[in-house]
Amino acid sequence: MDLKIRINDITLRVSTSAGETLQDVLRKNGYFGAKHGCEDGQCGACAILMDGRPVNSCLVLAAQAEGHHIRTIEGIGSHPEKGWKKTEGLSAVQRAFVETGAIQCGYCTPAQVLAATALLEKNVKPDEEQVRDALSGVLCRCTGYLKPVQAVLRAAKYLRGEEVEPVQPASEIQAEADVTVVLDEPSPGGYPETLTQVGVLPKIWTTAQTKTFSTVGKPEKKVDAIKLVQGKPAFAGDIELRGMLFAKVLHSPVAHARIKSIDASAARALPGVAAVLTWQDIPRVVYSTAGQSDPIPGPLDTFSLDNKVRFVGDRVAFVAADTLEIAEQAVKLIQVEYEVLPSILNSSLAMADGAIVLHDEPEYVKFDGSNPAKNLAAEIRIDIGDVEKGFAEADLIIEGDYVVPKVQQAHIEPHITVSYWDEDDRLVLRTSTQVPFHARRVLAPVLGLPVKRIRVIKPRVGGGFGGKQEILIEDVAAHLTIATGHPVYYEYTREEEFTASRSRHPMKIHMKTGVKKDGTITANEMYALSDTGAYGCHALTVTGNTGHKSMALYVGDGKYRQEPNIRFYADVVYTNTPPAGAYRGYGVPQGYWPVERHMEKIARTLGMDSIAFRLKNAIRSGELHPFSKSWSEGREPRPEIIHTVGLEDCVRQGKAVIGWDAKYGNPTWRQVEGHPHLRRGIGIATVMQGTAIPYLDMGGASIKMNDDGSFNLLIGATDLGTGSDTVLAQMAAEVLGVPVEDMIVYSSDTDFTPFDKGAYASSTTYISGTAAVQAAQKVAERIRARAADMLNSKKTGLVKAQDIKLAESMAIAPDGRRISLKDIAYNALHHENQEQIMAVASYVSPVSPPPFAAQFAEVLVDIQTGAVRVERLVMAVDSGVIINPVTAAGQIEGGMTQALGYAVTEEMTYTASGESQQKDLIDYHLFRADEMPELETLFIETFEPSHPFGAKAVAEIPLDGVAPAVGNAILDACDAELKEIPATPERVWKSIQAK
Amino acid sequence: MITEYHRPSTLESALELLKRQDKVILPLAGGTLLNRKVDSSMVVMDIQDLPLKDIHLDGTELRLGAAVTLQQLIDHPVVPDTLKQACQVETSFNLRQMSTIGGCIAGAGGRSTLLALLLAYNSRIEIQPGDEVIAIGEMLPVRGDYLRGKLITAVIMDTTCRVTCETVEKTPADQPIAGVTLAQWPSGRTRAYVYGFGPHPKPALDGPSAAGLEPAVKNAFAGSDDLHASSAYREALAGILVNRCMNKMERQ
Repeated sequence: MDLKIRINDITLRVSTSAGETLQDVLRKNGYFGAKHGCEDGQCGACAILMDGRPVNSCLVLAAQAEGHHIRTIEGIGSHPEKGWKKTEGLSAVQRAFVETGAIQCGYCTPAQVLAATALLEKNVKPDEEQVRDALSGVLCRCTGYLKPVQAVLRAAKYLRGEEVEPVQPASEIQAEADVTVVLDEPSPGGYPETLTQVGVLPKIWTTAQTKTFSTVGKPEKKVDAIKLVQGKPAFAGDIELRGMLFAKVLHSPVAHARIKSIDASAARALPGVAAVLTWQDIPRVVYSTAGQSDPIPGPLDTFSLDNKVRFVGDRVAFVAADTLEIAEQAVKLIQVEYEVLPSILNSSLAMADGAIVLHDEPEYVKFDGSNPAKNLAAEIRIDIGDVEKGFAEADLIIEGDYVVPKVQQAHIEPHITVSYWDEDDRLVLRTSTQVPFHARRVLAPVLGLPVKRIRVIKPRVGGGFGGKQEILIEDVAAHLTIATGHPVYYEYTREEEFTASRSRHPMKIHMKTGVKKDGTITANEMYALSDTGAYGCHALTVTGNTGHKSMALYVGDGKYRQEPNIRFYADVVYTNTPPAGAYRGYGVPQGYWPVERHMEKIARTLGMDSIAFRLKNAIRSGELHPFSKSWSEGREPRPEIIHTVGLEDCVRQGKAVIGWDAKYGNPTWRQVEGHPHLRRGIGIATVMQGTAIPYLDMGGASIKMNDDGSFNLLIGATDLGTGSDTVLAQMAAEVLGVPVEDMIVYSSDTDFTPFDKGAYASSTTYISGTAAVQAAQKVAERIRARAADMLNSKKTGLVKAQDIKLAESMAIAPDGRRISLKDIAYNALHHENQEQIMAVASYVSPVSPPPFAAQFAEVLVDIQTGAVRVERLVMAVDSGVIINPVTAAGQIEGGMTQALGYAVTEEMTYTASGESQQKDLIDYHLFRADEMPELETLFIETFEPSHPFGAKAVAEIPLDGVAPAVGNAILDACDAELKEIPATPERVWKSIQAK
Repeated sequence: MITEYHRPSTLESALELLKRQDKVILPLAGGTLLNRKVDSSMVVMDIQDLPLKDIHLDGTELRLGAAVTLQQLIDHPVVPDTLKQACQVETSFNLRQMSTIGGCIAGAGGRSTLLALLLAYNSRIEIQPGDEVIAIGEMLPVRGDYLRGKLITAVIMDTTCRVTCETVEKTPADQPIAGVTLAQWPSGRTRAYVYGFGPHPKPALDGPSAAGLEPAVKNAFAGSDDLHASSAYREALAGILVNRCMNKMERQ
């Protein structure tokens, strides 16, 4: 049918089918700002304005839109600098989003901007509740919504013509004295409604060194913010190629079976089908989908297509066709005969005698501890000290069992890959990945291509959270491009994300701890039964980190502090469920639920203050990381001293901000006037993470100087919304003495940028950042040398290169003479002894300095129904020096929000036949803007000596403490001992009944 | 998948379209339920140009055009607060702009507070062709078959009753996993529905008084096991939710 649709005041004539959605029509016509995130309108990433109202274009037929005025993000604002042509610049809403750091991955940003625009066109003075309601239709997995809400309130001020203050630190406190700072203390009746409006920046307890920096430590705007806020076609799927085919995968309907036969003839005969591939059509190459450095620290147990399926959702066949609809139709025409095998859905049964073996393929390659005959993907046995002796010396042994669920990363941008042959017949993969270099290396043998004939381009990534530390779908598109010669577009549906992607490993954990009466831990033991699902990607390393990080925090006191007794054993088993994999926190949140619930239990059993008990036994600066001599992600362990531990300050400051002393254990505070069935509670968890993998994680950076004194910073590091491009640019800019806008950042492309292991293990600021700093130092050295030559040629006094300071885009001599970097660049490129000033550097760290944090939670428990409302989360974090407080706070806020879902609602479960029970964002609810608790971030800086600017990791630690803090708060509220998360109403109710 | 799209401009032409024998015609209001990708082929009749968007209070009877969106209900002054709140919690802001009251009746599931509330009100719907009026509760168990070839044109609510609801959710904006809606008329007549599970809210009681309400609600929760909660848990909540509804009603 032919339609006329008015889009951004231009009438578009389109020929479309009756069922085509407005989103499809928009994207086919280049309006890429309407993103795909789901198929049922729950995520709202596809939102546009229809007659001024935000609606989800995936649920509007193109035909429905006829007669209405459609506005897309492409019709809002423009880049403020477009040459001789004056532009209107960004809209007030866009400007505010950029300034407040409301943009992380930017995938949902166009929809949020449109929703905010619609609100402010009707109501220029909205309150916070109205803003949150207006944003409720757009799910964001990155920000925790705090900064988007602040952005809308700020934009409203712009539109009202009010003075808007620049984003500046709300409060910086020099860490000189032992001072506890209380700011914005809540009023007795609760928290100010305007807490969100108090300030964009977190409270920072700064180090002395921070004061000397000009760019590091400042709330610089994200370098990719302006394109993202305009909805530019920056993501993997925002591309059209001539002759592009669309891929679909036939997924297994059974949990475990051999494929007896496949008849794809009907599918192949369907007009418009270009290729159907089964296991018989492609080489059988065993590999691991885990995106990790070589050698992969885990079993090789996966094939692109196999003659056996191991979970409902496993791959059976690939199809490429002219349209998605034809591909979907073709998938249904493939006839498969399965020999159904018994399946294992319960991890406790995986290693039972006589259990069916999932991986009986002869090509299986074991890694340390894997034993496929016992369905064991990995086995971990770590003994530090003499645990049995420690137990024997204890006055009390306390044990407990805990359970953590399988959960989904749920990045709003699904997995997506576009593959094509370039003009040199090299295979190009434009893909949403955290690990472009690992993807290239791992895929080469799978595709029968040498590494040099593959190029992986990582555009902007719409969130990853570990889900894209997996070479999950790139091979599908690539095989189909090889088969057809055509470009192939393959994008997961939201259902596929739940049924055929990766997730957090669910675990059943037993804790056993020996303590003295005075609270000294004499021995601490954890056993984890970890369920890796059908394949062992990340099996060893995720589960290893469960113990490596959470069990390292409490070493004991006195003599035990010097020689702690710690045991961590784990079995990582195969089951016929979708595979687990990497998910932000990488096994550590699974560890902290049992450890922190257990510590609370022990403290209460001993009658001790639970915080005092924790700090008495917690690791301190100058002490050895207890696991550093025993385990290092499957590699050789080496001893490591922890130099910076800000945990006590985190506890002290966090306690002050949340008002701990007035609330904890206070029966009066627990009561809610007029609501006898409600109880307030407050809880804490203390946590530590890691920063990169020592002696393994490597990142490279290249910096090149341009004519105008600006620089190209090329990095293999993978900014998946975290702001790492910006943070790396800040550090390089600090060294080069230029503003951040003079750093032109590009990441990442295996052809053009240096190697980087990718975005995982909280390593980018630390590892890739150090590489960027070192490259900048080399460039700075060349600049100083040339500046000295230029100054000395004027014979007005000699200056040594090393005495020249780079600042304000100038080379400044001690006597005050200065030359602009532009003049130096011209001199180098055009005038004398011509050279390209540039440098490359790479970095690998010998240490992994842990960040520390104190996580606090306040809850309201309905003691009759078990319903829990988390009302406030405060996190005080020692991440070393904070390079950019806005992006770092965004990491904490967004991380706490993901962790909140882990604590109270998110859970992936399966039917008795292994089918996923959650296939959409209705049954798997993600927190929305209109239901968030108060979020507050405090940064307690330490200066980590192993990083040039004193930084440690920030991205993963917010995932660790929320669940146990909530669990401990529930305990404080009503004495309910919850063993398992999420804390659903029924689980809490049962715990209350069991008291 | 949708194979044909029609947008009649008058009720007459819409009814003419519904007479087609070769295909089943599905009325398309906002599309938030219907436009989700489905396997079976459908012919849709977009009702956006039909005069079905009125909201008016006639004495004690509130009449809502079937194409009125949830957001329009929230924004309209004559709509009772309880109904506004139900629209607010039904779904997110974006979806409220397109979701209609008629669409809710035709397609909402067992976790819908709005549908449960309409049922408690003993709301009726007007249906064409045939100027038929039927209580939603009567139609609901067979709504798929019943509505085939028909068009809901309006919802009629008797506002003389007091209505409350009480729910339990995992998070404030999640759909309920257990809920009770309760309506009471000046005569003492009491209706209750339970929800939070299943294909649609389930009747618990329709009697001259509230006598036996708690066991009735408990009984209605029986057999409601699903991925969100067990039937035993929901049954245990019966007395709590009923008491809260009654207390709330007393305060109205």
